[in-house]
Amino acid sequence: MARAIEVSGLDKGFTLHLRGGVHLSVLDGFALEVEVGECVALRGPSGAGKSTVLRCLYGNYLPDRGTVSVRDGEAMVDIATAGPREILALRRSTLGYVSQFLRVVPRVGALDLVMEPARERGLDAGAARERAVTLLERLHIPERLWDLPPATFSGGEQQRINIARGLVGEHPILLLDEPTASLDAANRASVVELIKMAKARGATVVGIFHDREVRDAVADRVLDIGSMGAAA
Amino acid sequence: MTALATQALPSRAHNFAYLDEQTKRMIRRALLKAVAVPGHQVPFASREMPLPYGWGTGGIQVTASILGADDVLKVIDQGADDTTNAVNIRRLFAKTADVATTTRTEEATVIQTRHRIPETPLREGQILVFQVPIPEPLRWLEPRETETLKLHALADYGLMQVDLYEDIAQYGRIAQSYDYPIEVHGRYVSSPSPIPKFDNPKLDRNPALLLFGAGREKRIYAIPPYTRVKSLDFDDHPFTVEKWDRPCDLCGATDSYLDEVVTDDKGGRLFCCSDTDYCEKRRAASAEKGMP
Amino acid sequence: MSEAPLLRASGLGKSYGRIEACRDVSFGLWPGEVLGVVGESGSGKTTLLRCLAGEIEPSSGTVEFRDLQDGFLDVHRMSEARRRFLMRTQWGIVHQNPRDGLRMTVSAGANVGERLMSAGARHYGRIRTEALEWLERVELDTARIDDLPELFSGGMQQRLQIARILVSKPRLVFLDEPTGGLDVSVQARILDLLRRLARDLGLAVVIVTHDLGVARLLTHRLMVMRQGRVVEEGLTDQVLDDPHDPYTQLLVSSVIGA
Repeated sequence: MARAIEVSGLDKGFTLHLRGGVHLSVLDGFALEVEVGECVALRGPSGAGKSTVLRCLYGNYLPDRGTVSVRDGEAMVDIATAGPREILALRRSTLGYVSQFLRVVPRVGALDLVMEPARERGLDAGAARERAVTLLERLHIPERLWDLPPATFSGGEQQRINIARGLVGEHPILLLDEPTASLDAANRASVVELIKMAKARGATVVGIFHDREVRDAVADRVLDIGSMGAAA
Repeated sequence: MTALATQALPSRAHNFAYLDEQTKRMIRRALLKAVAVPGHQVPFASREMPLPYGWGTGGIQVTASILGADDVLKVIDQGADDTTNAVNIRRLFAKTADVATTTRTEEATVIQTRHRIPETPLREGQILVFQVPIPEPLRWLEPRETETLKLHALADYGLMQVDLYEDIAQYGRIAQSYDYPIEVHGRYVSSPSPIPKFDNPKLDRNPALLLFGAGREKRIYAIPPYTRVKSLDFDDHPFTVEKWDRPCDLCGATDSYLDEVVTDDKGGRLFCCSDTDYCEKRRAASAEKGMP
Repeated sequence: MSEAPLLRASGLGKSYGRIEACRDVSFGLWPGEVLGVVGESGSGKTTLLRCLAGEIEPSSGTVEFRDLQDGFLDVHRMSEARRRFLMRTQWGIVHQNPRDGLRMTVSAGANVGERLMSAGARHYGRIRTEALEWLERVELDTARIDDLPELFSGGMQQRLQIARILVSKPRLVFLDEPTGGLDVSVQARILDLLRRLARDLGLAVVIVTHDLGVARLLTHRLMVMRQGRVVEEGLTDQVLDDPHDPYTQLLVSSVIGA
């Protein structure tokens, strides 16, 4: 089986210059290997570095040391040393991300927002719209909300828009940060279905799932992250 | 009026044609440059003249520089030989240059004009001198001289076209009826002076030499004989000239520019040729033939 | 990845006497990218933009633009004629104050049609049709094509500016605080318009702003400037979420919604 993700020797800390230069070390020598099509759940206490791992994989955080390689077609690309253009290209083609925060251009309707990442991947408006509509329906976002900007939605609805944006591109690698945190049981089940569908088409998933049921339903493997980020 | 003989008492206080010879040379150099680059405005050191700016000092300086003892001078103002201005300018040159003067277009070698081109077609060897108030066609669109110099140098005339577009958008047609912008020799956009657009077609490939003088603005430009002159327009809003629905009330002409003259305070008016010489000739010709 | 950049700045600097407005700026910009330059007032970002856009001449370094036919051209060494031609065809500058980028004395339609007419368009009907299309693209009421810009609100004037430059299908657009001076609600729509146009038209964009929220939503890459120098640069979300430079950390922590 081919490797989708290879992380080794990852150190990540933060130097807070506004706090007198105090240094917080979050990850120390972290390592991770994920096969193509595998779903790995990261587990550990709050502040252990789970989100940090995902953010390093997405290029959102800059590692201090180590390699963070993801599969791009035939080759492995080290995100830690890749330039901005490369990372942007990878995000378009390979890496999908569901974050905890919905940060979008205000006053743009939910449907348009969900279509966006699919358009970025090169789909035309019609095809992107189809996919977006399918996702929104599965996530039980009523049609009357589709033209409304999500700023006025409930927390759970915003989270579902986030998930839709992360999944609409059908990226080969999905990074999910607490995707079901504010959802009720019915919606959690929908998300589980969607993750399973992604896996069925061969996607690799690395996720943080607080809900045990969800984790058990989708994860092939659980990785425990201790307080200093070393794999258990 | 027939051609006058030389005046009885020419002025001895002035050089020939009023200007000193050095000034004439300076102006002639400017004229040569102007002729070499058709439509391009050439700066010149405009002199103090015996009448204020706005009264034709530019045209007078050009005429003074090119006049020779054998020339025959015609001066018209809005087409007429007999307005105050035309009479005074003609008298100035008759006095200081001792030159023959005429009202007949075909007899003149040099014609100085304010705001009209004679109806009688000009021929090779004749010179038409225009009095120009504002030589810069872009002046009302771009007040900075530094900028208009660049626009001309770079042939960047989009602004002029924008102005014409705006006319059509606001009025349904290009509203400019006089001083209608022209493109000379396919290169420079120029002002033909405030002649009615009716006269613009006469500029195109005219056999005569056309010289333009602006005294206050201190610019000279020229259109050499047989130069292509095109009035600016749009492909779907082509340049058109004025038309009247009646002929000249005095001579019956249907092909000349007509002035409207109020004859009484009861609304009476007549339309007659602005070009007095043209009108007179036509009346004389029809009188000879015994026509009413 | 081996494609050459569209715009390349090397060691760019501008001084006014002893004052160094900006210093030692180097970067490449590729088609389809939106590069943000953020900093507080006095950071040198507007000076940098004006050097890049050909408006002022730098004291050191070069700005090169990749022309479709002729390869890399030094923007400040080329003739003024060429530069002016470039600035009205392949480039566009959207000014902070719309009045600096519009002709206030002619109608909206004339403003949008000007670049076409400068390029030799001579068919009134077709010019007008294209102007209408662009007014629609920037979501302005087409019925107002003959209105003077002063009748438009600030946000509408900004859209008109955008339409005016995009009509010549430029490859590179410079935006100077495009949402400054606009109501917040209006800003959002303009931001979205810019984003969609940049994507749909494959534009390369350099946007100068002091608003980190705008930078986050609109830009792919970010350069943070302080006192004339670039103190940090990289992917926008990385610079804002994982700032390394002390000044960047200060900026990010000071701004709501950064």
